Amino acid sequence: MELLDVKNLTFSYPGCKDRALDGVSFTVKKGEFILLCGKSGSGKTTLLSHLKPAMSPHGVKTGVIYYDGVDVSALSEEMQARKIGYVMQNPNRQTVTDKVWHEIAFGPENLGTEPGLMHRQVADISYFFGIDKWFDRDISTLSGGQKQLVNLAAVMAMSPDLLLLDEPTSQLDPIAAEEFMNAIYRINSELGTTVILSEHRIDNVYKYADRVIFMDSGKIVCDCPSKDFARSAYGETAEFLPVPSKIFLSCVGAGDVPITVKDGRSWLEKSLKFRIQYKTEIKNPSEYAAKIKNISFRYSKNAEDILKNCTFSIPRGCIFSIVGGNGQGKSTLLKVISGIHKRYEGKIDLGNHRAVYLPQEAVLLFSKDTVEDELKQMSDSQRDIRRIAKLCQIENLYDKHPYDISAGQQQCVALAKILLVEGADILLLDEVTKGIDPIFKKNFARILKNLCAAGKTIVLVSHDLEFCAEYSDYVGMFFDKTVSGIDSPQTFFSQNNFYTTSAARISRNIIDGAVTAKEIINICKTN
Amino acid sequence: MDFDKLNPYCVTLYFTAAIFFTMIFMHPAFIAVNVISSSLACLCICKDSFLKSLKYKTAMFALITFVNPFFTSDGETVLFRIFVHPYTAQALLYGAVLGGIFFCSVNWFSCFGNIIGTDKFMYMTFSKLPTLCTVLSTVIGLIPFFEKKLAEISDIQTPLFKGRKKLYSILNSFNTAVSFSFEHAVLLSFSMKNRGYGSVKPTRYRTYRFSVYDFCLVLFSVTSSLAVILFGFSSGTRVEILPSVKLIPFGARETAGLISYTALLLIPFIYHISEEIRWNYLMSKI
Repeated sequence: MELLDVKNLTFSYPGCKDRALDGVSFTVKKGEFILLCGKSGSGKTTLLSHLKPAMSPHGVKTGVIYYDGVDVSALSEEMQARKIGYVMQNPNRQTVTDKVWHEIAFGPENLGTEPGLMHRQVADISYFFGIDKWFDRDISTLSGGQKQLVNLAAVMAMSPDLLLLDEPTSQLDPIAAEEFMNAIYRINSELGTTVILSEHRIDNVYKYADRVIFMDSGKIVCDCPSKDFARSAYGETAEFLPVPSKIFLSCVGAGDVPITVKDGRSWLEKSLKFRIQYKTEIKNPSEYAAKIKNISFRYSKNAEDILKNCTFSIPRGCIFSIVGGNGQGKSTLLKVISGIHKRYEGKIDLGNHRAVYLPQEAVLLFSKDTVEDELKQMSDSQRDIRRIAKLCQIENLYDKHPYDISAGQQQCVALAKILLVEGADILLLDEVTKGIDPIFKKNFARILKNLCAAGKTIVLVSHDLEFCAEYSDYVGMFFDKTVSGIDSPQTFFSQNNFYTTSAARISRNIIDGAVTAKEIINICKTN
Repeated sequence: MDFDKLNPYCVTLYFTAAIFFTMIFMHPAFIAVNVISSSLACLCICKDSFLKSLKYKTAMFALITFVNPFFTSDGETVLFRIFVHPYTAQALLYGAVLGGIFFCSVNWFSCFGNIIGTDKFMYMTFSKLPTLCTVLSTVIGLIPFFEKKLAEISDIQTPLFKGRKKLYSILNSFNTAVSFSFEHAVLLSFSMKNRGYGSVKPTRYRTYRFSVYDFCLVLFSVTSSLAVILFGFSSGTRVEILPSVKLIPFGARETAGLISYTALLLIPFIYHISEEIRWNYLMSKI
């Protein structure tokens, strides 16, 4: 018998004519690893939340979900907690207690577990995840990756048979995301837990998936083994493939579709008979939008420096990306440049330009009930509002509440708000691509390019190395309290071993200098 | 055994006695003893936060002392007049007494809060009042979250509204923080439900046995509290400050009361010193 059997599930949110889920049917066997993907708003989160009724939103629902032969809505709350685990997107918004040990023990406590058994379960899961070393720490002192690992351990402490994860790595840096996915894989392969995971960051997870379920507009468009999906995806669907597979399909490769970087390298070596040098010229900037000289910053007198003697310049009219690990100080740097935090040393020369900051959580800018009111708050000029709304592609969202739109749409509304600030020439964008699907990222990149063409300068802090490689003009690494190694994306990523794109890893020593899938595809097609 | 590791019920009993007697005794000798004892307790239990907040507490003490005469015109010795209102020495002294009580109370509450955190509070109250207990601990957790988020939102939004009145920016930031906090609370409730909250009667991970150290703490606390009640509440410890200061010299009974009071309030310090000695002795064996 299947562990999960979803029959004709249909769901609409209150007051909405459109169906969030439309006749969804599928089954899941015990021990399977299912990757759930699709554009933002396709129904992935809604579907996952219905698989555990305690998490389900209000609305009109038809259809049945069977868990191990029993209607899931008939399961008691205790059984749901024991059998089905759920890990949400934001590591900071799931923690209930203030200590790591208590967070892990919270679930078993609520299930009335006898203390002796509880201690064993908590110890067991802490050792499994390597959390025993920071067992007594305050959760507020943990990094994003550590917090998400604690959230996962807290759910696994109840030993569920089915684990549901909703974009768990969207807030994590690439290294932490890789470690987290490894932990998920271990749970599936070593503990036999069935996993259904929704993700936009496909490269870290595709290799582990047994099956792919692709959704669009509330329907399941494709449900097949991951290798078959990689072979048959085309058009927009192909954007949800890992980089090696994308390159292979675009080059109409022969043989098995490569999924991992290793398979991709192997295929590329066979396809290209000789080593190729791919060179792009770095643009020499004619003018600088901002010059940062020896700035230093700390949050309080006795705290450690976050920025120390940080010096670099930002050319005008470009997309300037800053990459680096979580918690290093990249967001702080943007806040210091925008004037939100005051440096204690150094100089920031913005010329006649004004720098405005767009935070990681776009909702921190929203205070009105509709998108239209949000824009009207920033400007009295209807002409300017219409122009910016068109530029940011949010004209169809005017009457929506800012909290009811997708993550990508929220980023666009927030971008429109800061563009309406008078004199906003330097846009400091903090992790704008997190939680956004690959299709929307392309549209968003187009918006950013149009802004640069109009003379705006964009400084982008991001963990999305592929996005930075494809759309940036310059990339710098934030490390040891300063920005360094600024170069073109091609030079930057091709010279890094670890902090680099999947495409660069595939093409190393085969195509020198190619760091994006597009570059590799172009070279393969012409050679 | 560190005060932090003792049974929460026993620690709560001790601090209840300490805070109760702090509020009761207004004799300068008792207050002086309390200031020293509570400061020593803070240095043992929460040294960093005590030293950080010392200047604020001292400032509050000074404020209460010097502001009290503006509200109390009783007192025989008029130092000066502000318009027609007399500023008297007795009112100043009374203010100092109130300031001293405030200083000591804050110290004891700081120690108590430092030892009895959320998890110990829930351990003591959850089985009796589970819903109220969870609501209280969640609200207590949400308050610092709201403060932090409000500060972050204000930092981000204020530069965007340059040129407008500061009140507009403050209200806007507050509005955003409230919406964000509501959203956070909903997600928090989902997270709790996700992990079976409210499904069955819960158990507790951390349990606290009643050890010989807890027995000693209860014994000393009860004994010294009884001694304070027996000897401390006498005519000699009662003090009149307004309209004139009347202090009766201490007799044997009052002295015994003061000694019992000192012994009660020095328990955390004595525990700390004995633990240090014990630890050094154990380390010396290595």
